[in-house]
Amino acid sequence: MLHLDPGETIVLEVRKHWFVFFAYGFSLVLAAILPLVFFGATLLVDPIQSAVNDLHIGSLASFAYMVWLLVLWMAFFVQWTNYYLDVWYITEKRIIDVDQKGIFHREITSLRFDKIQDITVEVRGLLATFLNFGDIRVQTASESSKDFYLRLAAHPERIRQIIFSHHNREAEKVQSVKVLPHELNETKE
Amino acid sequence: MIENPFMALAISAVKINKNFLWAALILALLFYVIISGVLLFHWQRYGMGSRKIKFARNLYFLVSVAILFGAVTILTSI
Repeated sequence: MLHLDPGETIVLEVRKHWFVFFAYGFSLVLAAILPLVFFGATLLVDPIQSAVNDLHIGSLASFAYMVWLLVLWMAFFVQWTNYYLDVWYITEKRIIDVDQKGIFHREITSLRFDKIQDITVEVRGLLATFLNFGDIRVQTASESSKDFYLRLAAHPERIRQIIFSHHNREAEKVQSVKVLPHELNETKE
Repeated sequence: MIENPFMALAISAVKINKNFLWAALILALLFYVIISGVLLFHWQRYGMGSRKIKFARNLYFLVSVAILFGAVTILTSI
């Protein structure tokens, strides 16, 4: 569960590009189709065809295929959940990195805009260039905290611009300075 | 002439134990309930009320119930 400050709203949600999940989904579709192809090919063999013509064998194969489809369907959504919950939330005040490392492994880190030192965007390869996805690294000013890193993010340059605009806005804010009376007396002397 | 090896298989003589198939279905159903529970928990807790999460949840249950219905129908027809 994400806890935002009062008045804080999410400006942008940043996730990996849809193509990253599409590759996994495509492999599951292949896994769903292959048994049908294999079963269709075996029907070309006469003895197997006559056995399948026996209703029980065909029904057994259909039942096994249904169970297989159910397993694939669940695997698809488990992976989709991992993909969807792995996100950067960019608010007016900070970046919240929600790193969904596994179904039971979740890491949440916050980084305020005034703590950002630099942002690096890397778009590598033909597919990344045409589909517009790449890696974003946000370097923090603190040596003790680790950098924020999101691989294969969608529209990385646009995200960099948004983060930088918020960072510049924070940097330009006028800081009020409190002067103590004894400091005033010291300057007079 | 080489004999077809499949002719040696007495496939039609295989007797299918329906209790075994029902046990397999119940096992699959149990696994489905556990995974669905885990997914629902994550969507509810971390989904932030997202419309995509709601759509995914509805799609997941719609298709999985259809698959289970199909499996039960096939099993009852054996």
